[in-house]
Amino acid sequence: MKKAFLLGCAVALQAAVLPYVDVYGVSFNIVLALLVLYGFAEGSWRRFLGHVCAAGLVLDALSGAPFGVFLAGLLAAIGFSAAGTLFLPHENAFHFAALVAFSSAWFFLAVFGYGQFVVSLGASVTFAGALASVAYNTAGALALYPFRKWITS
Amino acid sequence: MLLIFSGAVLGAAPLERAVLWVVSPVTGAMVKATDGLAGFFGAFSSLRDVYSENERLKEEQKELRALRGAHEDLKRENALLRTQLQVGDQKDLSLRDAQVVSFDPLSMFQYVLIDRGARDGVAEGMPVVRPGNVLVGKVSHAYPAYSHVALISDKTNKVSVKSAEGDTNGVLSGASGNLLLMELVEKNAPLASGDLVVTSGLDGVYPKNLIVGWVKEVVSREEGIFKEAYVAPVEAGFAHTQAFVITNYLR
Repeated sequence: MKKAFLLGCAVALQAAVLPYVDVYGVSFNIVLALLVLYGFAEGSWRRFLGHVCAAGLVLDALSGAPFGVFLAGLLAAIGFSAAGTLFLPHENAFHFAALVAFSSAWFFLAVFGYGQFVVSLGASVTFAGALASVAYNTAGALALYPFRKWITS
Repeated sequence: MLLIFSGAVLGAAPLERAVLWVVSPVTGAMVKATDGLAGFFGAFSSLRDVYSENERLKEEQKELRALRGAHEDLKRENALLRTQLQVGDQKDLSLRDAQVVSFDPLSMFQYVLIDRGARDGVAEGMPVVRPGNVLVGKVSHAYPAYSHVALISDKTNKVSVKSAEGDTNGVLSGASGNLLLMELVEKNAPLASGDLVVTSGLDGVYPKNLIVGWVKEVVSREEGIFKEAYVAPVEAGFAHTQAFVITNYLR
């Protein structure tokens, strides 16, 4: 229940507050960071698949972008993260940071792939913007890491 | 994954509508709260610039006093010419105020969600402005109580524009970063850095003379008959929470 509540707060922050603090035209993806943290702490994503879908759907509804873009991005990123968790020890901030960085990159690949093959996107994010986003997400996720016990309890 | 593709193919309007009905009051309240905080901290941090700004404003005031006399003459002359030519002002625009309730979550797509929809007379394609006659974009989708607005910085949103000084026409759309790209500008047409860019009204979507931004850089290549220009919008992204939908211009 607490996890769902925190995720709801993260989605609201994502849509209402974080776009104010963009860097190179991208915002910190706190939803992605939180979901990766949940799976990383738990060691499995099965329990969070519903959370991922709900968060993706809400972000899609709020964004105005073609429907399904954020859901596709989150599913791809969390899928990658789930695979990574199988091989990485869970009590290590460096591994967590690496997982977030690669998941963020995977998120972008999925969004642009979806835009290329399913719908036409008008996204204005460049390669530099995507890199900035990966760095931004990693730094933000590391800031969350010290609070992981409280967040995931 | 099936859900995504069915949404893309069949249209996800009912699902989106339900989600918006639940979530947008929360995000709307957060946007309002954030706007207040941003204004407070913005005012606090700008105090240090007040002195230099004051000096600059004093200088500007002197220049403006000189210009005022000339302006009054031109105003009288303009009114006289209008009477002679029987040309009226641009037709009155009917505005519907709206509040932004959410931004694009990752700033990847140039959309905002406003709290006015079809029930308020808002329809797809209606232009949206913010105070100061500044063009924001157009309604891309109208739900009963909410609407998505595609900002002018969206790459798929094309706007017919002209330079306010030289009447040089072009077509504007989003570019990378925080700039806009003005294309299809005649190579020999006058256009320079610093020129004000406004809507031309030629596309029939946006009323003319809405402010868009300033020319930042003109790019002209040897080949081709057109040149292009990068335009800095009046405001990068969309940081305001107040907007107006022009409800009587849609053709």
